[in-house]
Amino acid sequence: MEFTALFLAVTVVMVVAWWGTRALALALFAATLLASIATYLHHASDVLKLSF
Amino acid sequence: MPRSLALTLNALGLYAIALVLAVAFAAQLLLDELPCPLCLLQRIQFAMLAVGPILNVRFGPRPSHYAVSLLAAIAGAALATRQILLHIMPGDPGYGSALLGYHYYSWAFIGFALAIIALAACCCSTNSSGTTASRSPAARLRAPPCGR
Repeated sequence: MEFTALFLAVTVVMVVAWWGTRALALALFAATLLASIATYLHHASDVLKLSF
Repeated sequence: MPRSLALTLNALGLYAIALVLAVAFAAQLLLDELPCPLCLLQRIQFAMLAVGPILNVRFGPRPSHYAVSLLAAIAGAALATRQILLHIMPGDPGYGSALLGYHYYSWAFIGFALAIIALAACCCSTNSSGTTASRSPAARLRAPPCGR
C-alpha cells in the first residue's frame, strides 16, 4: 500500500515539475525522498520472504 | 557544455529512465518476476531520478536540478547495495532471474553509479545561472561592461 502511495507521489512530483512551480516541485521531491527513506527504514528489519 | 547539448542529454536521460522502468515492469508482468520491497524502492528511486531532467527541460539546466537527481541516485545506489549484500553469501542463488549474468539489483546499482558519475559531470559543467561555464570569472571581469 505504501509503495503504491510512493509511486503516486513520484507521479505527482513529475507532473508538478512539468506544469507547476519550481519551488513546489523541489519541496514535493524532498518530501517524497524522505517518505521513501522512511519506508525503507520501516521495512529494514523485515524478513524478505520473496528473496529466500 | 552548450545549453542545447545539455537539454538533449537531459531528454535522452528521460528516455533511458523510461526504458529502465519499462524493462522492470515488463519483467514483472510478462515473466512473472515479482518484485520485493527493495526492488520497488529502487524503481521509485529510478522514477525520482527523472525529476531533475524534467526540471532542466522545463526551467533550463541548473546545478540544483542535477543535485535533485543526485540525491535520488545516491539513495537508489544505497538500496541496491543493501540488496546485493543480502545475497552476497556463498551459495545464495540471489533473487529473481539473472540478465546477462547479473541480477536486476546488480544492474540497478550499475545504473545508479553511472547516473552519479554523469550527474556530477553535468553539475561541474553548468554554472548557477544555467549557462555554460566556459568563461572564467576573471575573464568576465576583464570584459568591457555592457552599454559602454
